[in-house]
Amino acid sequence: MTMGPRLRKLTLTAHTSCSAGWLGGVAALVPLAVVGMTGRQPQVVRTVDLGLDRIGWFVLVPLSLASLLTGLVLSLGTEWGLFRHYWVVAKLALNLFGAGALLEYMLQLDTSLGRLAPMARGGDMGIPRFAGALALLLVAVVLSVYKPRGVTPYGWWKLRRRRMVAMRQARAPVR
Amino acid sequence: MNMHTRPGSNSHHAGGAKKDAKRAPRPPLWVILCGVAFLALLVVFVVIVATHSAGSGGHGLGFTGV
Repeated sequence: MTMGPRLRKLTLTAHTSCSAGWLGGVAALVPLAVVGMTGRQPQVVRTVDLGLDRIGWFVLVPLSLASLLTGLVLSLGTEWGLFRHYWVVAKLALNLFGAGALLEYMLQLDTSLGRLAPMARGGDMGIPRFAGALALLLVAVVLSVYKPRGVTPYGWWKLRRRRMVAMRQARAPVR
Repeated sequence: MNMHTRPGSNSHHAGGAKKDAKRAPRPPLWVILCGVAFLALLVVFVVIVATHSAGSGGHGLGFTGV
């Protein structure tokens, strides 16, 4: 089932907004993570942790899930399909991995906040994680914009079947 | 023999061209490269998470974590 042009544009707008918001949110957290990692005062570090927690749960997690949901609706509701083109499959994998990794990080952050541990810990994985997430989201943007070639075996089969149906219809005598 | 066939193609055999048309095209190079990179990333992520979980008694990764 394909969506009408209006609904498709609306979904595309929602998907682009959510994905861009997710990317921007992660980018904004990198300097915050640097402060948290390099800060020596426990209060500063604790504030950074609290900030990460709130931004994570109230901004990043909803945006990542909304991006996933709108992406699914957009792909299933258009001719692109979900498993027909490699770039769509790659974006889905990146989105699932990104959302999963974010949730895992947030749960661990919550656990450490719940303990009320007073001291900052050096060598935390926050910065590499945020940098990795940023890179993944940028790859997703590149895939969306360039839409590199490549049809999956399923997509190729669907295309072939459609062509065969079209050929049969063209050959059928007009009554 | 047809010299314009790609390696591994069986279109120089009788009916080979028909067989090739029925086969799905190979994945492009970027798909293979990105797939390998993604799998490597997945393995690194799992190892990091497992290491941290083991090191902190099962949980704790935030800046204030112990």
